[in-house]
Amino acid sequence: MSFREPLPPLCPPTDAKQQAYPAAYRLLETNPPPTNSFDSYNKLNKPPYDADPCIRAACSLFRSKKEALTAIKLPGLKGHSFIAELDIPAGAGVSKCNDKNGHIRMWMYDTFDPISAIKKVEELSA
Amino acid sequence: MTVHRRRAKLKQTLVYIDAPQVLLLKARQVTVVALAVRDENFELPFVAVTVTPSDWKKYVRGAVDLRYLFEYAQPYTVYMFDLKDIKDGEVMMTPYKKALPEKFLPDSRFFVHHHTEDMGGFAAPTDVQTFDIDGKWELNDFSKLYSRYSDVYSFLLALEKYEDQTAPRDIRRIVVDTFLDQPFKGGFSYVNFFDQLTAAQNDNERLSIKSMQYASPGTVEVKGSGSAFADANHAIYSFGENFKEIMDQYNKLHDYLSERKYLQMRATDFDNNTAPAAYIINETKSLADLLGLRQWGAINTLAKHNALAVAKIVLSYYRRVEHTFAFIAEGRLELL
Repeated sequence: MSFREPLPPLCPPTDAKQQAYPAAYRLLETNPPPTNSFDSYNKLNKPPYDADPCIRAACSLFRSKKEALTAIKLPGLKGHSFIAELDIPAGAGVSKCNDKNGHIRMWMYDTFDPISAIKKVEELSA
Repeated sequence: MTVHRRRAKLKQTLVYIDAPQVLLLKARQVTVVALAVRDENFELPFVAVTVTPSDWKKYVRGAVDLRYLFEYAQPYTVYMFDLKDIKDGEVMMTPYKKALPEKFLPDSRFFVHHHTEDMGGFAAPTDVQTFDIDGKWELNDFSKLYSRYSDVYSFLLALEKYEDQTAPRDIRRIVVDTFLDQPFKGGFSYVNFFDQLTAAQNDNERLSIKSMQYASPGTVEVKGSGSAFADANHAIYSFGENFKEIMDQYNKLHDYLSERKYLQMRATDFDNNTAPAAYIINETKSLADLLGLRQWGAINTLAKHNALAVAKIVLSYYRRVEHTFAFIAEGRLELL
């Protein structure tokens, strides 16, 4: 299975698993979302810095809407005015979910189109 | 004061959500926390603040949120930098001389447990003490129980650390300084004394609430050190086995000090070379024995063998054990 973007060596990590998320949440800046709105930091050609390159190649989602809304307390994420709910099947890619805060780090397969997996988009009140 | 540009080394990404959001850096020995912000003059802008060791500890324990570090934890120095300029793991931070605008601040209630990346070097408490409660409780009762139990726990743990010759010197120094700092005159003096002893605790020993079910019957689960829980519980239950004799001894000593106005006297003003000193130390030793305070020698050494200070410390410890035991005697509490 190949991924949506080239991944660095030893990526994804071995503890990342194929996992279905009938409801996963993604913060969006605009609606409708542009085609690159699920692209990773690496794919968006942002300047490299000293974080694990595998993390820079992942896409962030959340297990619940509440947990996603906690993330936009951070000033770097405050520009996100919309939240999308997705239905992600097990064959969409591999992921790791942080049990403490519901953050999902996902490496998507090239067969998966995240935009078509969006069930609904809600505007976040200002 | 002029604030200069300052170099800082990236130690760890704390929050990564599509991009780095919160970073931990070090500027020599100084802890710096940086937050991604939005500013069109930079490619990857961050605001950064210096954080004192005590505020950083509070943050890591979850006792304060991220906004606290950027808004209230004064004094600090604020910087800005562009992460795109990072070189060999280091950034050059420029002083930010204005007040931080709201758009650069995190909202309240973003805590350490919201970090997406694990932080090494912090051992959270894993042992749990369950307070099994029954009968009628008022809100004030919970705070009284927690406060008294916490004082007994801190006192015994501090003495254990002082007696442990392998304990870190700075920890033993905290215990020594806490005993020396107090005049032992007036209620605040004792509150400060027990509060300050908590500074000698490691992260995995600090008491924190794990869960609460405030009902009747209900339970409160508190995280902390298993061995310190065992010591505190033993002291409280032992009190119950012999409480009449202990109370009589407490009243005898308390009345003696009260009648001679020693309770109002600062311990440092007490003349330790008089007959009352010998009497006080003997009666206090009897009380300590009844309470099972095997750390008698350590208490004396820490109090510089000042009889009045030793007596006041043991009396205050008695009151905390007695108040905690009262909940058990009333049938409202069991320590599981």
